[in-house]
Amino acid sequence: MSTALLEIPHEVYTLSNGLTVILHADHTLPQVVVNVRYNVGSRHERAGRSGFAHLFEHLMFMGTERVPGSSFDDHMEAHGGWNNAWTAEDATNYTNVGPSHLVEMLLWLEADRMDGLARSMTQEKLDKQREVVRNERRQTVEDAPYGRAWNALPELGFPCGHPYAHSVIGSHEDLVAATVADVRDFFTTWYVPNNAILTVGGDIDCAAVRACIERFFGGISSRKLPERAVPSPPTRTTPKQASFFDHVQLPMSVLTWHTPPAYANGDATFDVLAAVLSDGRSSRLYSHLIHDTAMALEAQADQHSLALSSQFYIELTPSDGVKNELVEQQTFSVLKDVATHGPRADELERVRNQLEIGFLQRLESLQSRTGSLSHYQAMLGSPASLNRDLQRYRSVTSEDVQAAATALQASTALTVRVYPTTHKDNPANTETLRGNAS
Amino acid sequence: MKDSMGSALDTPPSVPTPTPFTPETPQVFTLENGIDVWLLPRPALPLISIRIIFAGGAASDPPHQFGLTTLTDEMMLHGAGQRDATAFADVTERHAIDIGMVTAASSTVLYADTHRQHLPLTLSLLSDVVHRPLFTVDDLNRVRALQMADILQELDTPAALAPWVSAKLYFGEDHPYAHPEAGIPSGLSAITPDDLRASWKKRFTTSRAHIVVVGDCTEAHLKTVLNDALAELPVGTPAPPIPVPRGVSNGPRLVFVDNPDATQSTLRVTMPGWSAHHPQRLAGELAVMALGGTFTSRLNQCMREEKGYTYGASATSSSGATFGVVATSATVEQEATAEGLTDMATILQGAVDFTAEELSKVLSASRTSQIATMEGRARTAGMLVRTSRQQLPPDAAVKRLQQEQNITVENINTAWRPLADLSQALVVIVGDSSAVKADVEQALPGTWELLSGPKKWLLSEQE
Repeated sequence: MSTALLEIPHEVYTLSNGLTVILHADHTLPQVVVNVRYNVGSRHERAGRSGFAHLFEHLMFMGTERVPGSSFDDHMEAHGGWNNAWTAEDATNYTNVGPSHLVEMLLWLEADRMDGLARSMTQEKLDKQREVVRNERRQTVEDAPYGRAWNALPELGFPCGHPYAHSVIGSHEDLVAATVADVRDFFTTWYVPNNAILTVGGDIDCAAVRACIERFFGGISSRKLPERAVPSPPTRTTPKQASFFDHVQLPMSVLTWHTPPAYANGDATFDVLAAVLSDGRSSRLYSHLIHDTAMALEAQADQHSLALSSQFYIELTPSDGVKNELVEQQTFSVLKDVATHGPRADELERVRNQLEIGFLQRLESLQSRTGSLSHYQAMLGSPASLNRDLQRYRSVTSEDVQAAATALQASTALTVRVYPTTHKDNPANTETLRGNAS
Repeated sequence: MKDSMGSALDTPPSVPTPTPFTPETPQVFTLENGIDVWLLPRPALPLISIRIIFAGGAASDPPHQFGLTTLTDEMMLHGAGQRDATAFADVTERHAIDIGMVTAASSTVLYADTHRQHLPLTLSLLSDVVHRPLFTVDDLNRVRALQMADILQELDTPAALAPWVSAKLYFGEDHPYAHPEAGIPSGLSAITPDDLRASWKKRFTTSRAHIVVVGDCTEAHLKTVLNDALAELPVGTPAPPIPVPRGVSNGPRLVFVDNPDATQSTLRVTMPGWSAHHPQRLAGELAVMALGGTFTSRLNQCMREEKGYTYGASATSSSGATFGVVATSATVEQEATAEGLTDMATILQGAVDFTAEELSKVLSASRTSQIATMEGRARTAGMLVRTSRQQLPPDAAVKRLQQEQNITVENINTAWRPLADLSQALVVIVGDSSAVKADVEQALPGTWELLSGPKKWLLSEQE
C-alpha cells in the first residue's frame, strides 16, 4: 500500500517563559482543540505519594481565585465546550474541545489555572477529589475483573524504587496521606510554562491566537525544574512469578518483559512483533492458540512504550480446562519459531499496511492531530515527526523481529497468573482479591 | 510583569457569536436491486467507510436460541466464497481492510473500512460475505466457544450486570430486547450450521438493507461497484417492527441485585423515553442531557463534584424507531449507596424546573456534538447509521439543528414531567446486600425485590 509523505501543517514557537506553543489551522469544521501537556506523570511522584499526579489532575478542575468552584466547566459548557484529561507515567494531558468561537475562553481558562491554581487550594477541595479518585480506583481496580493483578504489575515488574514501580492510580494509603502542602509543592515544582506544551488546533486565525496566547500566558513566570534522575534500564535475569485469585469466571496469564524505551532503537520492532503475534485472526498467537488448537480464548501482545523503559505484554486467557502453564508454554513455542525463522514476508507486509493505515486514520480527527503534534514535541523534540515515526516502522526488518523475539525468553519474564476464587489452589486462608480495599 | 499579566487574566474574554454551521447532507441514490444508498464524499484522505445495515438484529433470535443472530453474523466473517476462515482473515488483514459485523438488537451492520485503492477487493469480499458464507462445523464450534467466553467475562463486570438485569426486567422476558445480543450459553449450545443458514437467509435481503458510505469515492463509481457486489441478494421480507416494551406501571419497581463483597454499588434507573418520531423527542433528549449528559449536569455535579462518592453519574436517552428508553446510572462507594439513591431519586423527581441557562448549555453541547459527528469517516458513518436505524430522512441532522432552536424551557420541563414521579421507573441496585440493603430500603421505601444469584438468573431462559 502506498502512503505518501504524511504531515500535519503547523507552526511552533516558544514564549519567553519557556512555554512551547504549537498552532495547527484547519478550517474544515468550526471547532477548536486546546491541548496542554505537562511533562510530569506518576514517575515523578515521591515515595509515599503514589497516585498523586493523577489526583492533582483532578484538582486542576476545582477552581481558582478568578474561576472559583465549578466555574471552569461552567464557562466552557455554557458555550458548547467540554474537556477531559489523562495522567500517565510520563505526562499529564488536558484537552479542551469546543466550537471555534470559544478559543479565547479555552485559552484563558488554561492560562488562569497555570498561573494560580495553588493559591486557592483548600483542604475541602482536596478531600472531595481524593474521594472521587478513590472511587475511580474502586471501580477500575478493586471491582474490575483482573483489576488488582493489572494494578500490581508495575510493582512486580520494576525494581523497588524505580520511577515506574507503582501504578498511576496509586494506593489508598498514599492517596489518604496527600496534603494541601503537597498540592502546592507539586504545582510549584511541575506546573510551570517551561514544563508544558500548548497546542491549539482547528478553525483558528493563527495571528490572533498568537496574540491571545502572549496576552494570557506570556506573564506566567517560569521556574527552574528539578533535575530528573534517569535510572539505569531495568533488567531481569531470573524468571519471576506471582499468582492472584479473583472473582472472575476465567483464568488469565500475563507475561511481561523489559524492552527499550519509547522511540529508542528496538521500540518500533517490538510494536511490529506484537502485531505479528496478535493483530488479527491471521496473527501467530491467534492462529495457533485460538484457531488451530483451541487452547486459548484470547491472546494479545502489546508494546507499552514509556520514556525510561518500556514493557512488552502478552495476555492469555486459557480455554476451559486448559492450564495456564500449558498456554504459556505454547506461547514460548510460537516466540521461538519467530526467533528462529523470522516473520514471513507476507506477515511483515500485513503489519506495515496496518500500521500505515493507522497513521492515515490518526490524521482524521482534530483531537488526534493536536495530540500527535504535542506528543511528538514532548518525545522527539519536534511536532514534525510523523514521517520519522512512520519511517521507524517501515525500516523494521525480518531480522530485527527475530532478534526481538529472541529477547523474550522465559528466563527473563515476569509471569502473573489470575485464577477464579473457586480454583482448587486457592488457599482457604488467603484473602481473595476483592473486598480487602482500605 | 505580574501586574500586566494579572490584568489580562482578571477578566474572562467575551465569547463572540458562533460561526454558522450546517451539517452535510448525503447524496442519495438507489441500486438496481432497490437498495437505497447514502453517500458523503470525503476526498481529503484516501479512505472509505462502508456500512450495510440489515434490519432485524438480535431481536430476530427465536426463543431458546438467544445469541443466534450474533453468532451467525460473526460466522459470516469466518470463511466466505472460495476462502476459508484463515484465508479470509489473511486477505483482509494483509490489505489492511477492516471488515466486521456489529449486531445490535434492531439491526446488523456489516462494515468495511478500507484504503481507496482496495475498494474493488473490499466490495468483492463483502459480496462473498453476504452471498456465500461457509458456516463450517469446526468454525462454528470455535466461534461459539469464544462468544460464550465473552458472555461469562461480561458477567464479571458489575457495571455490565446492572444494564443486563435492567433490560431483562424492564422489557420483560418475552421482549426481543430482554436478552443481550450475544445471547446466553444455553441458547448458543444447540445451534447448528442449518440454524445459521436460516438466520442468514432471512435477514440478508434487499428489503431489509440500506447502505451508508463516507469517504474518498464518487457516486458514479460507487453505484457501479455496489451494483456488481450485491446483485444476487434476494428480496426477502421486511423486518417486523420492534414491539413497545412492557416497562413499569404503578411503580417504581425496586430491585436489589446481590453482588457479595463488592466495594461499590451500581445504581441504575430505567424509564420510558421517546421514539425517534415522537414530537417531544428533542426536548426530552435535551432534558436528559441537562440531567446527566454533561460534566456540569445535575446528577454529576451533585454525586461526583459535591458529594465525591462516585467517579461519575450520567443519564442517557436512546431513541428507536418505535420507542425510546432513558437510563440514569452511577457507581457509588458502598457506604454511600443509600445517600446516592436518595440523591438520584430526588434529582429525577425534581427535574421539572430546568432553567434557561441549562437549556442554553445543552443546546450548545448538542451543537458541538453535531459538529463532531461530521469529523472523520467512521464517526460520520456512525451518525448516518443511527439515522437510518431510526428511520429518519438523510437530512435529519440539518432538521434537528433547526428544530432545536425553537425548543423552550417549558418544552423540556413538559417532556420530563410525566417521568418525574418515577411511577414508570425500574430502580436496580447491584451491591452487597448484607452491607447496604437495609439502608437502601429506608432511603427509598417500597417493596424491594431481592435477586440473589443474578448470574444464574441472567443465564436462564424464560419458562
